[in-house]
Amino acid sequence: MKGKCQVDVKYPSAQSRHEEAIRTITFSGEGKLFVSAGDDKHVKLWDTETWQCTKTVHASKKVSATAFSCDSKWLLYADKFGVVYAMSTKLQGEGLASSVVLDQPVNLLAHCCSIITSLKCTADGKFIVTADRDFKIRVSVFPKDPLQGAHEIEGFCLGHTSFVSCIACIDVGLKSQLLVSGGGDGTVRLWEIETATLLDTVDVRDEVGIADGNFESDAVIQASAITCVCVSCDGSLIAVGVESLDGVLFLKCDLKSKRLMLLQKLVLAEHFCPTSMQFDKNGWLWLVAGAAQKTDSCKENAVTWVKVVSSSLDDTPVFTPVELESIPGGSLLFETLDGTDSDVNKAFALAEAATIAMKNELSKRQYSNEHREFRKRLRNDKKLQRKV
Amino acid sequence: MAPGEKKSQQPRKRFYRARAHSNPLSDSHFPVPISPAHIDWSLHFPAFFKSPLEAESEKIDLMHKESTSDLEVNDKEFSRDCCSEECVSKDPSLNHEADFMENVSVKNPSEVANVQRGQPKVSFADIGCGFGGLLVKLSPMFPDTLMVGMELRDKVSEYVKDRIMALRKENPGQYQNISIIRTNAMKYLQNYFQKGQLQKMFFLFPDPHFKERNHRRRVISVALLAEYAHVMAVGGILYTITDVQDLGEWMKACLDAHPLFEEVSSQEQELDPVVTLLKRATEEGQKVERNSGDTFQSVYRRVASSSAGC
Repeated sequence: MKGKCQVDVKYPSAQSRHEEAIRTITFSGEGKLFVSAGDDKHVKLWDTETWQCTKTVHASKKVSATAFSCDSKWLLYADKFGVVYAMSTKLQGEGLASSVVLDQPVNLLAHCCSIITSLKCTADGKFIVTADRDFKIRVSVFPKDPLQGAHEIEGFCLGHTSFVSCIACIDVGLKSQLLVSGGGDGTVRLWEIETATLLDTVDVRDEVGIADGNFESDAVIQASAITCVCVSCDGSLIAVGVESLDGVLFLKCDLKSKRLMLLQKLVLAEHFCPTSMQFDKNGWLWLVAGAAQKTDSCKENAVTWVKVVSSSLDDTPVFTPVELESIPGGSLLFETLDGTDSDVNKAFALAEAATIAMKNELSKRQYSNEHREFRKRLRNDKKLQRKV
Repeated sequence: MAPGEKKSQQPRKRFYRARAHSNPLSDSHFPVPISPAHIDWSLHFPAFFKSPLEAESEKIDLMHKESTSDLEVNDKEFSRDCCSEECVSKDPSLNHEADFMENVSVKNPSEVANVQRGQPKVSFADIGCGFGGLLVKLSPMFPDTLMVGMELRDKVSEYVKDRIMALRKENPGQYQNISIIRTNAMKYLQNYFQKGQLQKMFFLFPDPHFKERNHRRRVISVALLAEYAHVMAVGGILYTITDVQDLGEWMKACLDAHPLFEEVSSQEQELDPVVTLLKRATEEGQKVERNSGDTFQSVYRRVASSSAGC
């Protein structure tokens, strides 16, 4: 849920600023709290009324995902080694607990040495869902006391054949909560969380076919990773970002039959491959593409694009981009969000580089047998073998 | 047994030389099944399971279905069960010697499930089974129980496979209930076993990983115990033994800290025939005994969770 009015984020002191790339941001359920974390290993908790940074946690590894518990009492964050930590969101003075307890993160659970790409808590407070690069989605029971750890696993959603890049919970008060996941294998899958069963799979590779129609080529297979999924507020629509698609795919989620259907492929603009998207309360979809430049100066120097898409109010909605003028705040908002450099090609090149870097991190490196033997050449037992 | 028939003879360890340690955190390049439902257990236990193709050729006379390659799997990650159609025409006994280490993911999990439904499932798992000593001793003790060893090192798992094949040939009807999987149990245990499937899990003489920075590679840790508890049935037993005191204390501390495991009393341990095997069944254990070393064992039971649920 993005705020609609423009707000300046206040940095009370130099220490509050993130120094390196921010990898993950999340709002709490009510929108009162906000967390940002990333490569500088700092997890920052913000109050959304005052936009002050209320807590900063120094994590031991780079953080890859964050989430709030459904009651907003706990902040969860996951690092690139597969460990998920929990920390209380309470501030000092709000209870009898000492600051040590309040500000000390505890180990909640861990995936065995695998980058955690996404972390979500179900809205009914029952489960924590974590996705990693080893093709797995783990559903763990949300513990009564998170400080003791989450030791009980409910199930594993197994089916993806490549890294799982993003997950989103569908929580519309259903008896059994559903989960949508997107992966590097180009599929979007629908799961029932409690039983960890696969309900439906949509392969988007056909939709993102390259003009020459050669679906077997490596380029098509590789350039079809799902970058992001998000669910509309009523749970009936799913927006999907695909690596090489200059726009967004819409899927319809039929909650009764528990199936996914392709609704629309919306091409927005050349080189606009969204890396992040979110539905707002009005049903508009906000998309962000581009990449942030690393900068030493204090000014924001991001090369990003923002677009908004709205739907017609039908049973089978049709999506169209929203003109600047219809958005509250309008062009001023976009000027600030888009940053100073509006060079399309530069944005695209940066974004591509960022996506490739992410994929290299998440995909298993495939070596030929000869290359693998070559890499082992300095190993002592290999040296002995050669001597013999 | 014809002279020079290598497959029937017990394998010699000297031909399977390998380094002692394999990094459990490194990326695997061996195939991993997509999920437990994708495994064709008839390749491991032909005496217990029919392969889906055998069942079909029994039902329909030699009608081969054209297999379509609508497998949504990225070839590079998983290998296909590509030779099952061709293998039917060959000698059935050779069919099962087909490399079950390579063909791990079937295309038609529901078909396999239909055929293999109601059959016993694997219930003992020896994690880091090494040269297979424990499996070989356990097999005659529980002839109707299916057991599987999991080993990361390629040469050592090849050795175990050849050993099991030789034992099956030399002792007709025996050793049909043990098999070996070459895999990284720490990362991929969930791909092989369903929730609550295992009755026993063994961790005999695991790698101590002495340095503190390597402690996260230890096979028993509080985080991994959640995964082991998940694949174990309530009441299942977890056995660990080591000759390294520091590791023994670490494992006991992890098990004590985990709410889903409870120590098995020493009286109960004495009554369990499996406990007597821990010290001496494996090659590692025999080495420790030769050197008159101390061992530290921990035997714990998987208990039900206190909250509603498993």
